[in-house]
Amino acid sequence: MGILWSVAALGVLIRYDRKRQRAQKLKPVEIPKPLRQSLWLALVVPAIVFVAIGNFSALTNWAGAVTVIGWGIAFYLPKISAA
Amino acid sequence: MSFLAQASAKRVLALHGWSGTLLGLLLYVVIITGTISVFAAELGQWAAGREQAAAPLAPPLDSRLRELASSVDTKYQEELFVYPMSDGAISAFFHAHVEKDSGQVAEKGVRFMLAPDDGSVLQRDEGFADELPDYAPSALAHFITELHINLHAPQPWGLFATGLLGLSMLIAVISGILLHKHLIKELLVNPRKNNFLLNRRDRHVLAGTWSLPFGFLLAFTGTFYSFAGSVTLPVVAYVAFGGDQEKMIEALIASDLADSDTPAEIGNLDAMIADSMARSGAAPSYLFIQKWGRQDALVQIQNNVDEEKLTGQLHRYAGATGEHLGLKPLVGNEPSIGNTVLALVAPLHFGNFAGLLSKIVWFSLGIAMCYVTLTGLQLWTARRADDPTWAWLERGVMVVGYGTGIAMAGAGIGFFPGLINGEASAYTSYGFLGSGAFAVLLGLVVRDREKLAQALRLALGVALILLPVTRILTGGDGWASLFEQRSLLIVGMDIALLTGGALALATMRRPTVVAVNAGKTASTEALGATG
Repeated sequence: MGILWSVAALGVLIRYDRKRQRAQKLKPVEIPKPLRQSLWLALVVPAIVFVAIGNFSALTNWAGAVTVIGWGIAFYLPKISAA
Repeated sequence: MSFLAQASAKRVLALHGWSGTLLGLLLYVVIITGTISVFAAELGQWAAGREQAAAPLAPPLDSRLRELASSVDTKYQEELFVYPMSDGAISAFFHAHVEKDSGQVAEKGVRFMLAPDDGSVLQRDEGFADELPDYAPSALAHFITELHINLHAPQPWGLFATGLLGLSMLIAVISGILLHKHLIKELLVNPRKNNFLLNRRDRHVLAGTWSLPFGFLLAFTGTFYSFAGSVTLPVVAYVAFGGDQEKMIEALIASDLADSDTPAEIGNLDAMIADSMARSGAAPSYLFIQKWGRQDALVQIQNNVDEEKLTGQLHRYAGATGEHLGLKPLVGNEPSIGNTVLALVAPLHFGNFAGLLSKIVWFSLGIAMCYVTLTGLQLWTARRADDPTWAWLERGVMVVGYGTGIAMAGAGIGFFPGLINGEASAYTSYGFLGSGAFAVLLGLVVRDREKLAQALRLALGVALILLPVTRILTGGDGWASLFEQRSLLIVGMDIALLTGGALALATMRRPTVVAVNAGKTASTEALGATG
């Protein structure tokens, strides 16, 4: 659940990043700065929860999974958008 | 955020590039074999055609170990180490510490391999631990993990080599952190499409930025493993124990029970194992018994990781009475910060702390590291494409990049016939060397780089597809039979290999290097400015 939550936040951040939109020549869709900051915060909420409940196994797994999936989204999203 | 002035940044960029380039190809081999080794246990089960039980060391073991002990010379009952092999067989090694002709002290004794179902002896070998023959069903997994650990070089040189490679990766990671001006922004960088070379640079930066923390973690823990045995322990022994490593190891792991050589029957091991499982809620991963048959015998049982922690538990029992003596730290007898850090090294390096999910994550991180290494090398050579002295490295990157995969698949293709005729280790090596040599030959013979890439992808695809085919043709169970036995792991591995092979074939004609040359002139300046 933690991984899905963070990946969803990350997906929105990557999709609506201004520089990426410019690079992909997409019609710019702005998201307000407070929302963007909230999304960054939402991204790390699972980590805070895992630390709070002392589940370090889940924390490490979450960090690794978000790293890999985040890279995958950032890598493949241009291709998906272009398709 | 900029960490460095422009002049310093240039020096750090040079350090980043050279540290990666000089040892990059070997580093890639270590990373890709490490990535595969994350699934070493599963690879062993697939190769042996037999899945490991959920708790292979669960009772009953007591009566079997007593029988074996009675058949072993008492001089080898100083220590007993019991652990499961990847195919579920159990290794029980009764041994003592004996000085070799070279003066080095090593473990010598009798090792039994026990069948997972009825405990019958599959193999009995006697001698020094490092000279005992391989257990054939584990030969493939063992070959690949040894390649990762020491590149199959003699000790301690192999560990020195992988330790140095780990250090070079650490240097590349740290210099990478210092170089990136906007770490957070670079997490979202969009690989540019108007120039192939800049596109490669962006992809390298993107993968590198995402994997920086884990790159550091894996390089650090890997370097620790390489240097702990080959450098750190001898140095500590020299400084604190007058060079006596045996004495040092005794101080680190020795029993705190009072010495007593009075003969005494060992307590009920099944009861101790069951007790450790009840206390930890996890299956045991190994048993270590010191001073078998004596009043001061000590039984240590390592239990796997429970769901919420990264590390397992090591339970101690008085061997003669079976009394639980509490948990034992990895080193020494009291908890310490150093011990906690040491205990974290293994799960963070192997990624085996949360079952299949954490292994998949760690495997993917390994793939990311491979990608970063190869794209870094490609960038380095592409920026110097006008210089003929670097042309060899460009081809080398391609040959090693695909060739290591081809050679590992070749090792597997060699393993299965070897298993039939009792030469599993030798045939695994022949398969690896033969297919690796084939990849090198392609690199030498096929002059056109695009055609070379296609030929290497074709070879990789075919080799991967041949792996499950060879397994079944050499007597392995077919899918229908595996489904009946519920051996889904083996079917899953077959499917993964077939998919990998199909992907390699499907992308065979994808352009790789032609566009680099078309775009290099325009982008060289830009690359120089951005790193």
